[in-house]
Amino acid sequence: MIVEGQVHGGIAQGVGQALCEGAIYDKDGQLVTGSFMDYCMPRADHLPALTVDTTVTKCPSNPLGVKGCGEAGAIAAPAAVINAITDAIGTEALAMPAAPQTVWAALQIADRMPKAA
Amino acid sequence: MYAFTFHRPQTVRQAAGLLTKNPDAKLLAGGQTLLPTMKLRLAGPPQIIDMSLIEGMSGIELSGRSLTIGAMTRHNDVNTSPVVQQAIPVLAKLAGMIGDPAVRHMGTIGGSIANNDPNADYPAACLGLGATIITNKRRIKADDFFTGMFSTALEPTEIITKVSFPIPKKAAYQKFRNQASRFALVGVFVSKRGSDIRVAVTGAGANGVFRVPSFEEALKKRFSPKSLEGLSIPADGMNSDIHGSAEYRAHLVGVLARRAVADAIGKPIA
Repeated sequence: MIVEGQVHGGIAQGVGQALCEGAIYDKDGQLVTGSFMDYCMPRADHLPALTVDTTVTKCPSNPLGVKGCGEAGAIAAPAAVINAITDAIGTEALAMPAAPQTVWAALQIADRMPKAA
Repeated sequence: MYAFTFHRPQTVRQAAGLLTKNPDAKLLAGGQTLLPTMKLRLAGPPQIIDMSLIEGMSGIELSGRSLTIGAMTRHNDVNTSPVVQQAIPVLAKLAGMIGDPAVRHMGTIGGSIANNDPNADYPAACLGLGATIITNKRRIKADDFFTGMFSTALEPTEIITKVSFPIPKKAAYQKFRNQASRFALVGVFVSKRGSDIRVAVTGAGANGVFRVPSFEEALKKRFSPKSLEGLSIPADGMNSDIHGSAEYRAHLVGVLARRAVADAIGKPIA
């Protein structure tokens, strides 16, 4: 249960990084995304229901054979989400976070790119 | 917050009197914009005039061809009212999309339109339905009420008491949310009442809520999303910030208008 919770949380953070989180400063060095009204944290409705499966390999370097696993979800999720979007759109020109406006801009580029033969 | 004197008048007349005597005073309705602003010390009114004890300022009344909602009626009450759900269902849905449950149990329709936040939903509904805003002094048509970002036709001692909505034949609202704040990045309200067609846009305009005459003309010929195909509005005059450039907002107005019309005719675009 702890492992599932860690993975859920890691995925949520990874999805957040891919789709909406971003600290933005203006040209004078002012933090523009100064509150959660502008800095988008992933929320429950950003995510689908998650199914977590595990394979177990005991860690040999401690008596409990355990390791922390929060990073697993957080590292894999952004890559999976961004790869899915670039595959769907047909362009690699996509910066994180892939907010709606960014995806729209990428769609404009994709429409102008010659399709592969 | 800075310190303030808290007044709790029992009547609209007393509230207006307090406003006249204290030009620096602010009216308190649901407090969902005023109180956070005061907590951030972005505003420090020395007098607050709370309207929650004034009788007769909240309530929902259906009569003939119009639905009248008291200015202090909370968003949640509009959302859950069987009268609103039956008479103007889009209004109930719109009220249910404002903020979150905590905000909806305090925020009021009067407060929302008096504030005229360029990203708020109710201004689009008022302009989109051709509502009449009733104050302690006069009746103001929605077309004349919203005069710019955070500004309205209200005089300094004028208090909104009710808002009256003519009942449309068809109406719908499409809201594209800012991912972070959940406010409308762009929101489009469309309605048809006989030959009166309205398309009202919130979130996009640098000057607050506005109508789109070119879309309305096209929809007069045929009230269908097809009538809007190929139509767009220019990016000048649109808001631009980190969440949406002027071009993106102008683009969204077209997309949401087509979706709203599709909803209104009962054939939502998947």
